[in-house]
Amino acid sequence: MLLVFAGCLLSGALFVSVLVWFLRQIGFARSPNYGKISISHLETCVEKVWDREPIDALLARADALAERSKLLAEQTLAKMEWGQSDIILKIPLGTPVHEIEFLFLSAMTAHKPKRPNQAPEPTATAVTPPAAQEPRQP
Amino acid sequence: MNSKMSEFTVAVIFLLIFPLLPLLFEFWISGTLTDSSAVVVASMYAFSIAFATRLKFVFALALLVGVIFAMAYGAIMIKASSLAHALPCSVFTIGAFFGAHVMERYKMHVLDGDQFFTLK
Repeated sequence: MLLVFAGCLLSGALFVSVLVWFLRQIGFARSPNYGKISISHLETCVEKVWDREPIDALLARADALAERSKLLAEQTLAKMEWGQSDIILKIPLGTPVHEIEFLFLSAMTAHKPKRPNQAPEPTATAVTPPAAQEPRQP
Repeated sequence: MNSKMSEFTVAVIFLLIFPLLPLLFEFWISGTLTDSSAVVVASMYAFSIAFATRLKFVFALALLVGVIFAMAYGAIMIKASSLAHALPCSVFTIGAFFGAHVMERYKMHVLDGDQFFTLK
């Protein structure tokens, strides 16, 4: 009898632990060190904007996202509340800032949804690899 | 239903409902559940959740619970009788694991967009 009670108790504890974890993941009851938990695998979210914005606005937005990613990297990524999104990048720790920007742009390019009867796309959206970019000022 | 919810639904069906089919069929056919079958299903359910989860503490706790219920099953077999409160405790355990893993799968498939089937 003690065995099944112990199992019952442990499974109840497991349920409560997962419930707390889940609530933190979706934004409720978030502890101050939430950012540190996420830093381990550095999830960064990018909104899917291809299907509702023209290409110019999109590129401007990509620049803004890249700038934001740089800010995130510089601020030790403690504030990563980008909300629910359609594209998720998992960037390992130690990734240089210019590579994070490149990943953002690549992900947005790769996830462009196919629309029926879509006009030919401009080819100017190609992303330059980080190696070909100009050296950055520290 | 969008693709993320589809992935989530498929994961719940395959990982959480299918392992309970023996118990459901037993209840459907005989109209009751025996202690031994509830305990052994709770044990196997805990093991299956342990290997399906991506959270370390769930993995550790689920393995422990699986071993505990496996020992309880052994005790029932040796005594050839039922353990007190074995059935409600087993049902509670199965429900707790079900709820916990539903939350984890929701995070995985709906919020993070992971695919369930990655077969090649």
